[in-house]
Amino acid sequence: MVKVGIISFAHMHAYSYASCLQQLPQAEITAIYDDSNERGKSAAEQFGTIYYDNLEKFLNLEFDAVIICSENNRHKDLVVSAAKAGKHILCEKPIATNVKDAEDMIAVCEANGVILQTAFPVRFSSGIQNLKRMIEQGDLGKILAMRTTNRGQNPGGWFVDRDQSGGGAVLDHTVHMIDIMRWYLGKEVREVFAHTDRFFIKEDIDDAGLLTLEFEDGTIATHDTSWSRFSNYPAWGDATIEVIGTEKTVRVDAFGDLIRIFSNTSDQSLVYMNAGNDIDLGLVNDFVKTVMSEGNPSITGYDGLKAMEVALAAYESSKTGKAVLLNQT
Amino acid sequence: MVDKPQGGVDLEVIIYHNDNLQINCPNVEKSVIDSEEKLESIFNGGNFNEVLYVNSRLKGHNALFNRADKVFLPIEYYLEHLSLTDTPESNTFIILDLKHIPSSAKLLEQLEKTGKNRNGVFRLRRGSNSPEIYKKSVGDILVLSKLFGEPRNLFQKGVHDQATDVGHLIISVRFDNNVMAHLEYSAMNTEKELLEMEMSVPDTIVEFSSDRKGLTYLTSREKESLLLDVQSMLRNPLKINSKIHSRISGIVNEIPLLARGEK
Repeated sequence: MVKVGIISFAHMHAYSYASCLQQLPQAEITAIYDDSNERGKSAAEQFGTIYYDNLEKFLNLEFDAVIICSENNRHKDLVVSAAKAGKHILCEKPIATNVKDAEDMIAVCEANGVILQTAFPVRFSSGIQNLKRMIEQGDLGKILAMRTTNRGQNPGGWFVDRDQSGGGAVLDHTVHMIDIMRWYLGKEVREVFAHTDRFFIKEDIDDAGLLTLEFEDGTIATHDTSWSRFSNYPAWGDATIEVIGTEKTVRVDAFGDLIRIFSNTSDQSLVYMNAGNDIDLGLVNDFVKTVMSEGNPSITGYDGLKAMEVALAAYESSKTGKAVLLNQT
Repeated sequence: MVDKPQGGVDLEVIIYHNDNLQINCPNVEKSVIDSEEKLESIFNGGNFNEVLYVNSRLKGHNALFNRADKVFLPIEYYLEHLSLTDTPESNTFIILDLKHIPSSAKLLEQLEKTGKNRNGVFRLRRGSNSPEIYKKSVGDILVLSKLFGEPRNLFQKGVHDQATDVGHLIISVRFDNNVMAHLEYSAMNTEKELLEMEMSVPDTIVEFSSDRKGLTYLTSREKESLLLDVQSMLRNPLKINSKIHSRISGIVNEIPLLARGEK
């Protein structure tokens, strides 16, 4: 049995991850720590566990691993504390708000011999995994280009407070599909050109970005990221990738398996119901299995860092109007 | 020698390829010139209508250009056959197909009519089985700059595999109406010509995909071209002049995949 504590429900994904833990027979939620008393107590009640308002006491409990879903700017301190307490860690994305913090997080986990996994659930979409297999089998031929999107709704709250989030939609979303592209290619991004802007929300933070990328093997790519989906949009949004190979071109939407429901009884006449697999369950299950086997995580802290680095480069490129070079040797 | 069409009206020549003209276009009296015999008969005094649809692959078809009152050329044909330093012929018009594919024309018209042509994100994606598709980017930029304002800070990336003739062109551009855009073009293994456009502005998302239309083949391997509305083309043409010509040259020079003559 893997005992898991959850640190903070500031990020809404915590509710989904907690629900996933409850579905796994080999895992249990030991306790919850949250710096918001009200939120923490409510979550503990919802998931039938104990709430702690003191991080030290929480980390002194006997359990194996933590899932950290705090505001982005607190990831580093919480990871450092959890690692020093000997807990394996699944950290919500983006791993941090700057490269130095991410490097420190990776280093402290290595020093304390604990797993640091970045929460990139899109890797667990069956469509995304099928395309990965097709690429590995050579079905697509040589990959020349990729096109990706991750457009969703504005989460509001601390996400639109730059001090806490580190950035808007570009940081929030870009990391997912950069991770998928890195995973498919096994290569790093070497050049980033981007436009970032605010079109859709009132708060003073970016809500859209168009990234043009080149990987170190010459593969070119685009990423369209935004909080452009309004509240009455029939689905949360998308996470798509199209891979253009010399033999085949294939497109996947991680949320593309859906049922369309038309209704005359609500303000929203059309709703897309997800009929695909539960990607959060795939992620949490993978983490729990890694903890059980004490193996290497399928998605490392380094993966989190490299994805975040591209998002940060996008901001820089947009500011200067010039391409930013990364991973130059 | 080519005589005037029946009735002595002006002769208009439309160059087509990939069977991409709407043949059943009402109110257009046309003759389809899709064989060398038919082409020859025009030069030998045969009867023909005022609009000629002429297949671009026919040898000697360009002999018609000097005789026609108006010649309509697809942008890719224009780029391929006319040196960009030449002075354009005064009877030449360019076919910018975004304006003449009924659905895409409708989308662009809707954006303009509703004022959704500013402050947002626009994405265009095209695909076909030929690297000729890259050349459509020039026409697309001309059309989109009418809608979104002048293009600025154009950045491009292109890759083309000569062995398989598969490749991809990315154009990132910022238009003056505060619109940021990605325009993407794939030469790929497909029988279908693909066009997708989407515009996201506050509270509105407008999308079009040629994959979702009235007529759909459920079997694979069917050749599908995007059909152009000939009436729209005749009504709303872009006449080439030295200003447009140098604008086109300027765009080409910003896209190395085109400037170096990639197919």
